[in-house]
Amino acid sequence: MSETKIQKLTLVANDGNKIEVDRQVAEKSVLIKNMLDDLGDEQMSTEVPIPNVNDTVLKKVIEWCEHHKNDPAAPQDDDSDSRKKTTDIDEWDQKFMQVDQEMLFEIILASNYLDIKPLLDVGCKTVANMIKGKSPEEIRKTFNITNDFTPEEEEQIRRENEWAEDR
Amino acid sequence: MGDTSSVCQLCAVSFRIGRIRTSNESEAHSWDYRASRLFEQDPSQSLCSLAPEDLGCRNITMDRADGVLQHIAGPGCVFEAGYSGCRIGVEEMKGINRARYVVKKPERKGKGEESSKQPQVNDNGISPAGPAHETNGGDDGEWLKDYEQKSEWFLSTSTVTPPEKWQQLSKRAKFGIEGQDICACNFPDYRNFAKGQGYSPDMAMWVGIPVHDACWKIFEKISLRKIGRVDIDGFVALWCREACSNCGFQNLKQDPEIAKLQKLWWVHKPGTEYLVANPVNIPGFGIMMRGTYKEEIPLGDGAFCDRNIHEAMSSNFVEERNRPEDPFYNIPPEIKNDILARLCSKDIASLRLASRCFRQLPKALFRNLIKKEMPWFWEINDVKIEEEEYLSGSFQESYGADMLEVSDDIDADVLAYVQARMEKKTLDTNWLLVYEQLKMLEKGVLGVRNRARIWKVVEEVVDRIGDMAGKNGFKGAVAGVDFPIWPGEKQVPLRCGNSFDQCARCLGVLD
Repeated sequence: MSETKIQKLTLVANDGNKIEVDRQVAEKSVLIKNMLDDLGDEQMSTEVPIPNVNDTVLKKVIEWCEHHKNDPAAPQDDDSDSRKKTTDIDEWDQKFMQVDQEMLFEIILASNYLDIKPLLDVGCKTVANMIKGKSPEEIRKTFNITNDFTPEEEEQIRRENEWAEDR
Repeated sequence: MGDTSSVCQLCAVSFRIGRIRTSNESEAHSWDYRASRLFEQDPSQSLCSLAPEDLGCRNITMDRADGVLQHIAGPGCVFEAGYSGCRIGVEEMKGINRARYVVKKPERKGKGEESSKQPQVNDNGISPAGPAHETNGGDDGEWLKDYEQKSEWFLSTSTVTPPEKWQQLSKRAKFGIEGQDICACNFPDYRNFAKGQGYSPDMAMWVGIPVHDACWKIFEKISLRKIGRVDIDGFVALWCREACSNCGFQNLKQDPEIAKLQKLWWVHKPGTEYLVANPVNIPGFGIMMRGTYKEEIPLGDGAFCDRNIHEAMSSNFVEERNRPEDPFYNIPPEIKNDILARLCSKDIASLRLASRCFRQLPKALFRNLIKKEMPWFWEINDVKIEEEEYLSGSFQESYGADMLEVSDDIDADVLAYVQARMEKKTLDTNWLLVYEQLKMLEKGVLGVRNRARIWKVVEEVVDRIGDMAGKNGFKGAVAGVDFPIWPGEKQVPLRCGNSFDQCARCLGVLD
């Protein structure tokens, strides 16, 4: 068994580009890790297709996995306690997330698909930080959202928002 | 017994709050700051006594007291010797003058030896911690909470000051130390306390850190949540380092109104009744909340109704006009919820106005918001269980075993609902409604408002205890590790030097 243990994997992005990575790095993805566990090394082809993620995004995700490959596995926290959710991001991750908006959301979707919880967390934190303290207009500007609410719709939402009004 | 200047070291409000009864209330519902029914202050000079016809107040002579007038509050009462019964109910004020003192346990030399009130203190002024204290199995054991058993410190039993007649107070004092043996101490340099002793031979009294019974209960809850135990040692250690003077801990950002009211006696200014409403036992709080739990409209997991069809917009609610170029358009709901969980209510409201994708929000989000923004609503689960029990009971009574017989006559939805309630299935609570009701009560119910105020300052105190422990590696005797509660003379904070109504530091202005 041990001599046949796969050390390198080739990930194939949806545009056919192949990227070779260390097994340890690839296993940051719970999806890939489970695949390896389920199939066993013998059955496993060293080429792993990642049909939902394109080459640029995949490279970016692998960059993150490389940097964090030695992080201890996150404890299985129960998601129910989301009041503990914070928006603190470490410095390297902050720099890593300085990408255009399209890329940011692609990273979030890719980390969701690949099941890389800590990266998904960083993505959600980044988006939350982009929203924090901003007015609706500023939020629209930040995310390039067109304002197409009719005045009636806007009024309705404002009424629904009364719970959040300051005293 | 506390002197007039002693204040709760947590919430900074006095223990000497008076009340003026209305004409519908009994004599026992009036008391002055000394808890006497014969008011020290003369009501005849109060503005409302001068214009009784406009304000509805009057002064009566009491049978037992020559010439001493008792003021009866009308709707416009402004007599500052007590809060008007027209503006705060006697039940709301129940227990609010109940002081408890954090006091050091008397040292006992050994088993079987009669305890002397004189504590044993070593040369550097620190009492040796350890098994010298009477702990488990001692006479006081059953009276002490677990954290008190492990600590060198304990909470005195409540002092007996009227209007505490409602309460059955324990006659027994812990360690034989009773209320009248304790001198309320607003600052750690008070006579012998400066050497870390709990007993002052000069005064022949024990020194105690005064706190409201209710505020201490809140401290217990927060300390348990944040530190994992009731850190009484941490509390004393922090107080020895950061006490101010007559106003609790330094820079606590207390309600600025408080400093204006702390004169020679408490100024019972109209409009400040919330400061003296019992924050723990709030009459009717549970009932006022319960109705919001049973709401099941809209059904499903979305909190908002579609106003046209009065049904829930589904959680994946995507309007026709939703724009694919909106980056949130492709984001799965669980990721949107993850982002929402990191935002405060104001941000969420703004986001709803910015993107159609957040028009509908899951009910569960509001439960998290309550826990985050109104953590003082510790009854959040209890109220739900109460309501479920109540509905179950009342449906059992109405239908009971006859359910099958009447089931043909009842609408299927209603039947399913009734059956679910009878089986005590969990209610599909719309937490948005609970959130809104809580905010409403925080505005409109004095005790709830006071609870929110005190929770905030006590939370800060507990955070500071946590920080202090982190910085110094203190664990506290409660955790089984000895540490110097008494910081040594040099580290004792400077008294602010101001009289208690002028302390800028307590208002969070000075460093």
